[in-house]
Amino acid sequence: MKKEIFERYCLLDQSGELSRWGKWRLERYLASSESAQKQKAGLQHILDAASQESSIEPSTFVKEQIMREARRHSPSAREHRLRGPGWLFQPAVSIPLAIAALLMIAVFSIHQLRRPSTLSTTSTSVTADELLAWDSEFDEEVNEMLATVYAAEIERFPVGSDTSLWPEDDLPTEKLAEELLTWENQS
Amino acid sequence: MSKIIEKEYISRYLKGDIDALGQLVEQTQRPLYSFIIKMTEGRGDADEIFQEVWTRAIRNLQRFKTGNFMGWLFRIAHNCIIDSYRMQKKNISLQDPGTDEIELEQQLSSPTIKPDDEAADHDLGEKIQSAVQTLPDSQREVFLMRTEADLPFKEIARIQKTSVNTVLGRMHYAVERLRTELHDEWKQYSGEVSS
Repeated sequence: MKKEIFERYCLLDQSGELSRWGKWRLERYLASSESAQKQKAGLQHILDAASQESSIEPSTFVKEQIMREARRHSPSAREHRLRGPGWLFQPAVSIPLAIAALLMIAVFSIHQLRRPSTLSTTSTSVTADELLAWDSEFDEEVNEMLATVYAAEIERFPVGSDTSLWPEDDLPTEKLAEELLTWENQS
Repeated sequence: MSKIIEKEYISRYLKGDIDALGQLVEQTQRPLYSFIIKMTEGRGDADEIFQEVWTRAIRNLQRFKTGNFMGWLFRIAHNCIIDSYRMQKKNISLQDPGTDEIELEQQLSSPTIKPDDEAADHDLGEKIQSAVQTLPDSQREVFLMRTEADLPFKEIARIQKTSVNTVLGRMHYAVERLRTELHDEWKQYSGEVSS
């Protein structure tokens, strides 16, 4: 048997993966060769020495971190997160809560049922002409307000003036407040 | 740890017993941590990788149904180590045996590996571990998975995404190298086989 093949047989035998036929072949070869027996023993000895359990361990901190992760991802914790807090499902809490929720739904529904009738009377009592008149009145009021604001702005900052846009920024707070009050009284 | 005990711990954890997971970590920590340390060449991120392995395992434990739990953990560790290598922009491929020689040269010239220093106490176990550090990554991984975790070659082949034959070849080369490194010790226990 070739050395490499023999060693492969030994390795597979040691791992318990050698077929029955392979085992038979290996045993036959070992029985016929003393040096093969020594070779197998030597290989076994080296592998056994290499397999000695290591005494090194990860740090306690790492183990604590792993346990923290385990707690966070444990199925019971996940279920707890999905279900919400346990006290919420106690009958003493959940029954009054359910009744309160039902009452709120009932009140809301009644309110919703009454609302459409009020709306319909209002809409039928207003004619299209009246609506147009209200719109134009409203527009006029808005235009008037805008014109007043523009006029005040032009008065404060005439075209061509190179003064600061907001001279009040340089004033102390108290002075600024006084000025604002004066301006408010005037307007 | 037997498969029955592993399954028992997993089942208890999935039912909400956190301590069962603690037991599982305790039972598997030594081979797993030792494997990570030896694969990362004492770079100092073994703790980080160990934590990452368990974090990934915990998050996916519900998906683990049957099979070799230790093999599953080592598969996660294998992926975490590759991720760590990538993060450190180290050009090492565990899949490609073609780069073994380059890796070996790099490792031999690495200041972190001092086989002679480590073997000073002449202890066979330590001598072996020092020699293992000189192996190319793919061979070292096979050797460590076999000796540290007692994983079958079939499982190792699945982790390395290769054939059992390739894995056996890697183990054979690893043993050959150890034979050269531990020449005197090897001679003490064995004779030569005619080819």
